[in-house]
Amino acid sequence: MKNRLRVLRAERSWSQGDLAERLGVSRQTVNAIETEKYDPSLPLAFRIASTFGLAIEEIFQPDG
Amino acid sequence: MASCDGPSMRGVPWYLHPYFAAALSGAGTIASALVLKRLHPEGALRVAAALLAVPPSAFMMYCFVRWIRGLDELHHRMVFEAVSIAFLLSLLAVMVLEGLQRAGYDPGVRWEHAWVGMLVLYAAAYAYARRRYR
Repeated sequence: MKNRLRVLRAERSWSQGDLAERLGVSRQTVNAIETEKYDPSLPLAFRIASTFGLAIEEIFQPDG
Repeated sequence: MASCDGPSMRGVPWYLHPYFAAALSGAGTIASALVLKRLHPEGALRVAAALLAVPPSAFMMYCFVRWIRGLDELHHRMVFEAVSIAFLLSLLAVMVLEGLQRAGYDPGVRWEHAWVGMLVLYAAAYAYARRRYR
């Protein structure tokens, strides 16, 4: 799954640690999502969308 | 909940820290070996001395489960992968040892090698899983 997490985070000048703190996960988790090594669960995807004030589909897109 | 730096122990009281519990378990194992070797207890006392490490080890397992429950979802996945890999590798190791035994070679493996081997396999598998998501 592709995502715009890195871009959205950069727009807000947040570090991975800042975003991790807001989401209540580890920095490694944020990094793994950004590098598309890990797809978040639906509850975490909703938390991410809510943190950025966007809909899930505006952040995550299916591959292909 | 994990901190932003990884599977942190933040907020965990020192006496429930998995490393403290592991040290307690190690101390129990050493104490048990020393009592059996130096004091040579007999009967029920010998059994009690031999099982001295079991209560602190059970406490260590409780602390580790408590720690795992506090991890975030990516670290849950890593622990799951590590346990799965370690289980399958230990199964493979047992098959190899059994095969050697049936072929007439005594690998000389004792019970204490089994749990140390399982711990080593888990640690290696966890390191591999962590690296995968780095």
